[in-house]
Amino acid sequence: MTEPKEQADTGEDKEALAELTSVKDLMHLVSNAARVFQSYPSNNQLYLKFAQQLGEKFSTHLKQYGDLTLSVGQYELMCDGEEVYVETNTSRSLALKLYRDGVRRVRFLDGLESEEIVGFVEVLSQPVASDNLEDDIVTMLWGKDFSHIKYAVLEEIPAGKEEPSSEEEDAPPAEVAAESQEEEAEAGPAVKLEYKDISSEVQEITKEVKNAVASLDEEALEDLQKGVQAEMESDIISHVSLVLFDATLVEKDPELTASTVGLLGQLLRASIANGRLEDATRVLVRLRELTSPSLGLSAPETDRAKRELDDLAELEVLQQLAAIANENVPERNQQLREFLLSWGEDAIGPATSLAGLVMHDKTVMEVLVELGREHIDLCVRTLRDPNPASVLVALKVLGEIGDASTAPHLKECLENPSPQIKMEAIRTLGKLERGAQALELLELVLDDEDSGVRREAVHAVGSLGGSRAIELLESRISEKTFINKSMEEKRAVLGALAQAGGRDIIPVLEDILKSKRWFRAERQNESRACAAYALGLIGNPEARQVLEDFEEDRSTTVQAACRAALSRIVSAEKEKAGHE
Amino acid sequence: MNEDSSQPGLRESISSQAALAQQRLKFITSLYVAIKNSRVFELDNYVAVQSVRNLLASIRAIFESDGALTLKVVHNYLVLNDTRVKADLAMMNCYSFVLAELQRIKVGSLSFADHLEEEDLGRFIYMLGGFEAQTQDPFQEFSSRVVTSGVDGIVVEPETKVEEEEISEDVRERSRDVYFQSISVAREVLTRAQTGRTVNFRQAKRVVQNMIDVAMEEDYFLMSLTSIKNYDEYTFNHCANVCVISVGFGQKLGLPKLTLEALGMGALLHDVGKTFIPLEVLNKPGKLSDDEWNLMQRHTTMGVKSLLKNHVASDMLLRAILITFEHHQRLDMTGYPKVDGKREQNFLSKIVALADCYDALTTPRIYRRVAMKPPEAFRIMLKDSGKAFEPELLKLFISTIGLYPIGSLVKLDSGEMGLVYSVNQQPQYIDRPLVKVIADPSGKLVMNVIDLTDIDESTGKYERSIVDCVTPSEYFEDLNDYLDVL
Repeated sequence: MTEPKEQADTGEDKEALAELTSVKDLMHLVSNAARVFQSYPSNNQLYLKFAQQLGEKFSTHLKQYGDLTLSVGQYELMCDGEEVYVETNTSRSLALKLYRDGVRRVRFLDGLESEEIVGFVEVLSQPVASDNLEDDIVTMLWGKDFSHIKYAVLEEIPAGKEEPSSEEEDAPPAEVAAESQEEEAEAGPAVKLEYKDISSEVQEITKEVKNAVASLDEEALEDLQKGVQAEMESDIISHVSLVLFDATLVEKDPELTASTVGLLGQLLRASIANGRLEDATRVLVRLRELTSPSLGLSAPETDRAKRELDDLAELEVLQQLAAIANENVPERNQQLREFLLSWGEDAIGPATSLAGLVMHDKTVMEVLVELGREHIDLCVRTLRDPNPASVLVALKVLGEIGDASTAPHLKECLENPSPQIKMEAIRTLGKLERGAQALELLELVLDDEDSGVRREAVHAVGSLGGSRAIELLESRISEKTFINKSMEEKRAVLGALAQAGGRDIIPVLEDILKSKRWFRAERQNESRACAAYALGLIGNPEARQVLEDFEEDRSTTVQAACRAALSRIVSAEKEKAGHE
Repeated sequence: MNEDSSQPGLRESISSQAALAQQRLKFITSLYVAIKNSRVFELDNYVAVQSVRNLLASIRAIFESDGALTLKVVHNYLVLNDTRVKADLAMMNCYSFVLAELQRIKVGSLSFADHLEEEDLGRFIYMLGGFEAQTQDPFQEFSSRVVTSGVDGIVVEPETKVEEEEISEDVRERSRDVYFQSISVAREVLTRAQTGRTVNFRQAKRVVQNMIDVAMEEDYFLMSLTSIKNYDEYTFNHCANVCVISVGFGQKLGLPKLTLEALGMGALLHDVGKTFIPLEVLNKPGKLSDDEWNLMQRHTTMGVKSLLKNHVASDMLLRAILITFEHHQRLDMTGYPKVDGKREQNFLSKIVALADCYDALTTPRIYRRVAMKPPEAFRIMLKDSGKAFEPELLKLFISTIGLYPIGSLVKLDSGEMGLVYSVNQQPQYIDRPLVKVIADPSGKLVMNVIDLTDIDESTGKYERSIVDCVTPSEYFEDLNDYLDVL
């Protein structure tokens, strides 16, 4: 910006200088407001503050000095030949935005409303690609329908005034020979152009048309109005995706298919980016249909559609979906669920990655389980994903599905150096149906060097249950070294035994509670306390009786364990009664 | 936008009149509600009081912006403070009702004073709503009652013969500009598409935006230009005509500005696919073979292909795609392209289909050298009502365009030759537009506007009626002369 003239000799000069200073202030405000509008939503406090200032300051200026006219240069805005704004940074320059789209002058008229100047700055704050042939600044300004802002635009339109002539110099254009089949006529070359003579029928035709139109009564108009309204609210993306799909099938032209599929892909990504998952789902359905061999499209055409779908697995798209999942709003969760389910089995890989990105993964996990049941092989495939977070998700999903046939694929995970993956694999094994194979694998980690892994393994064995599980767990108890295990591990083993054997295991636990020794008594009491804990898990009257028998045991450790177990049983019973 | 005299090639945007137009429509609606309520409720009823109060508020709002309020009946239009009130679909009922109320009492104008009080307004409305003429001169009877009742602040004037309502030269100039620009852009767009180049949508959008600006201000003159049928430049002319007609009809339907833009763009581009059809097929004078017909039908899908080139997805592009693909599919989907599954034409496609068919039927073609006259074209279209076109939409289309559209040359039973100047908005008078008489029975040039609803009091019959529609080229040797009288 140029500095104001240093000296103002006359009153007129002073006035002009004051006006110039005021315009520069306004431009400074516009520039800052545009940046704020670009960064914050319209309900943000800062946004609102700038909006208010724009309204007030423009109104004050226009009242004091009258209409404000700005000439638009490439990088600068001028007022009465003086530079009032300059910004040479192409990405920031508001002048360039206007200039590039042909705007050469902007006028703000007295009476300017606050909404108008805010709307104007909102348009300037919009990012506009330089190669965009469609939405441009002029269109956006035009759409705002300003009453007190005028802008002059350099004409891009070809010379308009062409008088009608029957002898054009240009060659005749491509013309249509038939608008409809009914219209086709067997006429010779045109000689003289004239209307069909219907003068004798005019009265009759007039009557006929008039009668038809006269039935356009109040009710019909209201219906039409409702139709217009419904149309305005209709889902254009869904309709367009249908049309693109139809056009592709009608033409079966690889070039057209590439274009339609490309646009469907654009629509799909734009819908996701804008959080419009219902639109996205509809487009996705069309794109998936185009990959179907039954439509008769060529392999390159279906491949093109498949590639477009594959692109959805990009991190950027997944992050946009993650943002929706993290909203954790029931309606949005349902939309996300429908979107992922519409994606079908191809969603398994991306959704597995997605579940690793979100805080609230319930919806995504449910979808994965639903899709995974039908496509277990695809779920298993994700176990080899290089991203550990995805492997963890896949393991959880396989656990929820519980399909015994996946057990062999989990062996690799049991050998994974990551304890997290190893433990998740153990949990998954513990959830499989018909656990023989799972038990075999779990045996491999029952003696793992990591006590945490061992504990998880015995828990999984307990979850699987059955005689082999009981056998495995009892054999661990009978080991001489069992007494030396940590309290946590002993508790895990006895707890697992209780889970696997239920009431049948009460005598075993009672025996442990009864067994006392002088040597390493404290260790033994720990084992007894763990047996009490396990009895508490069983929680039936028989187990309760045993616990009551040992409630006054001499060992305070055992006493406390029995009382805690009894208290847990009482709480569980109360809770159960409450539910009933 | 207005051409800027200080800098050639620069056009300045037009200040939006939307707020003022809304104010005028609000006044008409309030007047409608107040009269209706006066027939149901007593004057002191809360609902009635409220409606009079609302009417007074809308009168005062107009006073604030215009400083006066005079509502006139000019021919078959309501004119408020010298601006014709334009009613879209949502307003048609109110508009027609108020117009009919004033016409039945033969009121020519109502002037409201700024000191008008609620009580006076209320009494006036009840007089107006409850008035039943007892004599042959309803105006005299009504105005006497107003005077004797002592209502202050409202002046009632009788119907008068109003001369031609002048459309400013500026509007005419802009209408002509935008019309011929749209032909140029259509040529540019179609030629670029034919050579596989990217279509400059921005250029087309500027024309459509200008067209909407002009149409919102004054669409009658613009619409009249569509009566120009250029046989040699058929496709380009046709695209421009379909665009103007669609925008005019869309405006009548009350479509918002940005939707009108999408509609106009779709209409302008609807036949872009024809550039891919070989000339020997397009220009074939005789009946097309099955193969040729199949090829011809592909212009819709080829149009989509052309639009898809190098463009990012925007609402405007999406709507243009719909229109291009669907404009021949018909309401019952028996047209083309044939598609599987349940489908329905988009609303904007339905509008363009009407405009497309109408303009095609009324233009001479290589395979049909004689064009249909508008009434004949409408009869053909009505035969397809419910099959090709939505019945109610078609009726409104005909009522908007007029049985004799603006710009039509008509022969009157008086022997005079006239130019349809304005369509009568009331369906029962669709055959009785305003006509600018351009030649008397002897062929002598005259220029005066007549209303075909005028009745000869001595016979009780209409003074004049249309007996035929004439092609402009039949009457004017040079079409520029035709443009001059438009």
